[in-house]
Amino acid sequence: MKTKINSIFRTGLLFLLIVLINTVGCEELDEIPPGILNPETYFNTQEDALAALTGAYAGHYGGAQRYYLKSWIIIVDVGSDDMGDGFGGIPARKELDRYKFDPAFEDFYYVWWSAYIIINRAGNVIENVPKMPDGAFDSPELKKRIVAEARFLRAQNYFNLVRLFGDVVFHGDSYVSDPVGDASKERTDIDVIYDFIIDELILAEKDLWDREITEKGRATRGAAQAFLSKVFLTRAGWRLDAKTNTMVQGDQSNWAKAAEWAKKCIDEGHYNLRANYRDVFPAHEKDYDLYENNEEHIFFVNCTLASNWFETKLYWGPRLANGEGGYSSFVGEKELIYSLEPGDLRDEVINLYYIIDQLEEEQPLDESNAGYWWAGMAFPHTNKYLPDEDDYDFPPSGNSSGTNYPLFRFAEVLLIYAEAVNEQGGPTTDAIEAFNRVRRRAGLSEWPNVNDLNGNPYPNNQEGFRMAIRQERRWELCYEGKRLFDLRRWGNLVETFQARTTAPDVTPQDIIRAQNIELKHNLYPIPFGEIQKNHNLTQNPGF
Amino acid sequence: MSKLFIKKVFLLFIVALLSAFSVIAQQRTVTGIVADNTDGTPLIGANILIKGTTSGTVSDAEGNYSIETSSGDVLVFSYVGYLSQEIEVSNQTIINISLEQAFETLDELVVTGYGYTKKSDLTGSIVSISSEELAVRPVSRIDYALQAQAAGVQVTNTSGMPGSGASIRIRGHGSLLTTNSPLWVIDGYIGGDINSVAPEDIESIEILKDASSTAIYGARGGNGVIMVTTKRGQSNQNRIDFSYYHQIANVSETLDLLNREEYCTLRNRALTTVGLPELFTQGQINGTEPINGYIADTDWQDEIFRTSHVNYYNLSISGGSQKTTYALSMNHRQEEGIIYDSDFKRNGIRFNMDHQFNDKIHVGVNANAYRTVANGFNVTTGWSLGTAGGALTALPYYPVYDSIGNYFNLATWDNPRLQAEGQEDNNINTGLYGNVFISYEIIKDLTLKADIAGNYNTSLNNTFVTGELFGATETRAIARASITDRYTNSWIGNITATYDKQVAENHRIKVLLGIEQAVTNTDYNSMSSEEIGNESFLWYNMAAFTQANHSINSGTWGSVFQSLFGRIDYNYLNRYIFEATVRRDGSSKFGPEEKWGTFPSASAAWKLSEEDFIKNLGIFDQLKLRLSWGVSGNDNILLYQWLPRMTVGSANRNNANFGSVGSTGSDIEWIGSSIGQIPNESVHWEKSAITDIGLDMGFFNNRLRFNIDLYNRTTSELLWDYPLPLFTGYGAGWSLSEGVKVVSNVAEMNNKGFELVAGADIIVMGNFRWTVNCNLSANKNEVVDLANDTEFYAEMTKVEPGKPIGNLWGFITDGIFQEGDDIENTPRFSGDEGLGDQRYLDANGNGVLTNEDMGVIGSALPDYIFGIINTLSYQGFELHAIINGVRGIDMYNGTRQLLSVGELGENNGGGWLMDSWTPENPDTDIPKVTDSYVDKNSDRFVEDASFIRLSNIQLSYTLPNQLLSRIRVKNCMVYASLQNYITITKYSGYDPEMHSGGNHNLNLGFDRQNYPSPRGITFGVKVGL
Repeated sequence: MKTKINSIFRTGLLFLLIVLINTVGCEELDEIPPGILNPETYFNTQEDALAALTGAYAGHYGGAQRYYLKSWIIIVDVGSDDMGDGFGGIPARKELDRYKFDPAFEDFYYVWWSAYIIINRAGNVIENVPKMPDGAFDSPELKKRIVAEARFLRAQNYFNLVRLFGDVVFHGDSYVSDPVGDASKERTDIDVIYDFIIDELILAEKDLWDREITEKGRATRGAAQAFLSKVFLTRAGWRLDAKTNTMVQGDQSNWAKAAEWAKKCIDEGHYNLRANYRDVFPAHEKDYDLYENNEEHIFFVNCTLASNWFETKLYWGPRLANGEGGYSSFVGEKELIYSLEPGDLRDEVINLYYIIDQLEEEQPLDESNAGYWWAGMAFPHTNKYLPDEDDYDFPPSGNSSGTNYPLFRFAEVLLIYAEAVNEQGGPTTDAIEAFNRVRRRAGLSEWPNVNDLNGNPYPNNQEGFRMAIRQERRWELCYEGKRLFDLRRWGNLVETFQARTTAPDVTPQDIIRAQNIELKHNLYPIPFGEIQKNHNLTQNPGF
Repeated sequence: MSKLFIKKVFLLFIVALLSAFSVIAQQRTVTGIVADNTDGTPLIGANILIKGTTSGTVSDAEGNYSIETSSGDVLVFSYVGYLSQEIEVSNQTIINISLEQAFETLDELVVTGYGYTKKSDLTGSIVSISSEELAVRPVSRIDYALQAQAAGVQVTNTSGMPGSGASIRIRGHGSLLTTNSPLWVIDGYIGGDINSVAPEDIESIEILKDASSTAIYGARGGNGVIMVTTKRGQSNQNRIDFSYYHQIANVSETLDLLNREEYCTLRNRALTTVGLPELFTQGQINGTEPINGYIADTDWQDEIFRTSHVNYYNLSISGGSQKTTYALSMNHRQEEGIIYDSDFKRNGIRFNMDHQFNDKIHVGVNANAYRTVANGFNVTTGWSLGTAGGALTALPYYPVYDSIGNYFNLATWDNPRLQAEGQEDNNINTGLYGNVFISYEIIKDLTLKADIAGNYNTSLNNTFVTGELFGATETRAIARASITDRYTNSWIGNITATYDKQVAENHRIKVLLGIEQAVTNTDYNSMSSEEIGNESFLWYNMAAFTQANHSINSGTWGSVFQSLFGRIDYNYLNRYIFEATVRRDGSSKFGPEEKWGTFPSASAAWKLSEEDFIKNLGIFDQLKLRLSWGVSGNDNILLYQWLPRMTVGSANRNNANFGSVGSTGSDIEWIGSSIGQIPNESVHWEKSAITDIGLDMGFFNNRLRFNIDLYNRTTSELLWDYPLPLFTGYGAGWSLSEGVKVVSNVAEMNNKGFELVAGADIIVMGNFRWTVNCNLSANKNEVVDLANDTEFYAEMTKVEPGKPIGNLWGFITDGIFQEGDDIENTPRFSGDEGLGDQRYLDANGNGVLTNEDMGVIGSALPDYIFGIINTLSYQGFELHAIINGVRGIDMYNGTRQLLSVGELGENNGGGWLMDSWTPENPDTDIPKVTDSYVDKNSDRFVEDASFIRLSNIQLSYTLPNQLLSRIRVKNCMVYASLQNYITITKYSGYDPEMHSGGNHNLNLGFDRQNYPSPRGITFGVKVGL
């Protein structure tokens, strides 16, 4: 009996040890589990290349602060004289509106960071996709287009950075493969970056596809042309030179190039103005052809409610008396609203006058309608990004919409053309026609029968036309992130803000801003934390 | 190294193990009586153990015992509260023994890593807590039972959510980025799940505090080790134990909030302050006119809190024969939370068995199955404040139910009660654990032991949010559900050889050598969906959701550990004890450049009380000096930090939308990819080096005892998210605190501390006994270095070199703007602040208020912590009172800040706002209510969170034996206890212990509307048959 148990026991013990050895002996300490994507081996198929490119586009939606869909709007539009920080906003945003901000203001970081994320992701595509065999793609043109789109995105975001911050960190043609090593980079001269932007856009323009054959929302040849015109236009204007702390004017030969590229885009034939200003904006998925990616759209941030949404209702929507609605965060400045000419057809798009309630009835948003009127509504709200009236019911079924955010539309190309031509010696027939196309759609009188804000006709000369174009840009493109850059490149940021103390309809905000505005504000400060992490970065003057 | 080496070592062991079994010694039965030496009362349940084995028995109700022995065996007689005695069995068959009462039992065995040692021989700093000490309070999890028990061990109860754990810090905070929680070793299983053990099943808990004790756990012992030993059966003592208790609990504290009348009055005042019209009419304020169609005055705290009930049952059967013992236990816990719709359930079965195969071979099995179901809700979700926060901020004029009986809900506002009832967040954990071990004494004094343990765990997380709720995402009226399943299997196998030899009379040598491998693999998959067809489906039928918002994910990860370890103990003259350990660990978690690490330690003890010159003094019964040094590691780093990785898919909004080519059609979501992780090839464990000096003293026959420890703990090579500038273009743009980071071993931190334990049997008079055990510890933390001299701002604290962590950071207030102040020329954040607004200090005096003016406004680390455990017994009565205290700690009361928001828009406020500034009430420290206000984090919300708490008091009565023996009951005890009934604190929030920091070190001391702690009353009974 004893021996039998012993033999059972020995067998059991042996079994146990075999299990143990199997457990202990055969594992590796450097095993990588399946399912981990390694960038070195990532680029294999056309889908991989497209996904990496999509990742770059995705930077436009940004992280928590949504880049173009929020932070950009704050620093570019709240930071201009078009938009105020509305009801119940965060203190730091109020401070920006008053031009008393801190270099640590979070939206500087988010725009800065998001732009560099796109630059790096695009750089990864530009670096790796050309190494892939042509056979991996449906066509060689597609491979070229993918790289060209990445170049476009990289240039577009450098353009944002230099316009906002001046000299910035520049990664050249390579992507950031050694972030630790690159962490101590210095700022690069703005002209070096501008030259790079132009070269890249010209390269991209050759390989990008037409609007007709490209998926909507992607960079097209027309988009590259439009951006080139804008880059030259900007370069021709004024900018604050951080080294000398003075305003300097750009090379005047850029006007011709701006006009040339704008003309190319106009002649491209793929773009036109929508007959109705309303139809440019109220993007809604149900009327895709009518609203989204129509022929006036050159480059938009494409949003859908399903994934990459735009919090239009939340930030742009009015707060109602019962506490419902949006936050009334992004509101217009009265001075802009009251400046509109009588009969301007854009008025009802630029301004929100009523909402549709649950019973499908129009509810005017004025003090007479106590059920809806709320103190916060004393600010003008815009209807530009709120979904179509039919769908803007209350309470809204969400805070977000699939509305697209415009970065470039055809109306601006026309105005750029008019401006660039005029700056080269005064209006021409072509330039006047480009300008008048915009006026005509707005239902307003045409050049030379255009009056200034005091009701006096603009003189029919270069200066008069310049003033009319500047005014028209403000109206046509308000709340689209253009105004601040316009004021900076026209070199009249400080005087425009300061003049606001005497104009009608000033608000306390305007007066505080007029007191605070300085020459240094022609550039935003380098986000404070970046200098903290890299002592080689210098700060812009005055911050 | 090593793979080959390990295999060779293995082969060697096998050969040794398979060689000759069996030497059969002569057996004889010894019987006798165990009794008290003073009055001869028989001792029931005294342990009689054959020395060096686990076979033994216990005495019965008359003190009788009977045990099979072989000649030459030594019997060890032990009984709680008595000194153990050893008797060698020669030819006797009857051994009667009388034991002497002890005030501290220094001979009891203390479990150490891969072995055990006598308490009196300890060289390191190990605290042993017995099942008797644990049994005096009803706890849901064993971590709570450790509170106040040991010096240098801070146990903080951070949430009252049923099933949630405590935060445990042993000797301060040792890590910045990763967890600071100690390593749990359950019956030798490294990294055991604390939920796998029911408190009643525990025989003892050992807390290994210094590095000489933890170094044997190498790269995993750096935060201290807590070893749990479960109960095993005892020979010839078959018993059935049943215990039950019922607990009734309530919220311990509610906050003073505004009622409707107060809120509406203040809201009107806030609006008129900025020149806006009033919102509420006098009738609405008084409750004679409806607001939004309702007249209500809801106390939302009342609506979410309830009286909760806990039921706990435990049944255990144990016993066995001379050679085979077993213990089987089953338990069931059903716990309700004090907020509606939160509860916790645990079922467990445990089976331990030991078999003495022959006098050389001993085999054993531990098996355990358990299942926990935690049903709750996200306490704070998305931008909504969740249930707890929601109940504080919900406006009092909203009714709970609308006129047709549904939950009242507005477009921008969630009903707090619905947030509890309309959300599910269920965590179901099922674990199967088993291990088998065999030990074999190859030759005299040399024992080989092989142990293999397997653990299989499934963790299912199911969530559901009703479409009626607004919170958590941006889209309302969309129900959401998700399922995340995790399947983890782990194996640990080890073989150890122990050589334990008494050489001559004065030398004793003990050598341990071992090898070990641990493998863990986890697979997970998850899915979520939106827009459910029928909300009663919850997560059970995702196909019934709209297809558009389905999302799926899956993944796998794993880690491997390979280790070699050894320990040498040398005891000379039973006076001088030396110990050295070393462990070499290799892990797949570490980068390719740093796969292997070595963790040494050395320690020594000098038993002065054994020296004649001390003995002659006649003062000390015990006097021992201990010195130790060692290094252990913290390997709690995320896996694969050394690999560059791409992220694909919608995570962090990686996707973009493009419309189709041509015209018709809507946008299509395209999958994006990006480089997610910046790799670090040398990422490795964090290193914790502790030097410890200790003195143990006993006086008056050990009636008075002191232990003093001083330690210096330096944790170096700490992982830190080395922050890179954002212009490097990495990251997801998601949040600034996330930033662009590389995980690197770059930081260093130091903790120095002092621990004092004092114990006294103050009164011992016949049947009356009063014992007090106290401990007090102080720890001083300093961040020695962060990468690149950086500073780091966590949500509420600032971390910077030269300062301790947990420094609360904010603006310094400077009173309130009063009539006559030169407001125009006082630095302000914006031009708007005026009379009655908060005034902040321009600390640097530069005339403007910026972030530079922020400073340290408090410290979330305590000056000292203490625990006092009182035990009074008289005949069958026992009273246990556990007091724990934390002094010199601050908390940022984020809840008070939330409720002080001057912009009384959507939020209710605290009752204290009634005392806010008005021209008529200028003498207050609460600024005026206003509709446009600048909210800054400031010292206004920092409060002293020191407290002394009677965390548990229990009165028990054990029925007399004479009575019970007639009904064949071995013992019966009834008890009643109170939990958290008395707390002395100045803190104004729910609970001074509740900070949201959890297991992380960067958000210490921040009260953010947590699930408040309950206070309970418990009635229980324990019966043994």
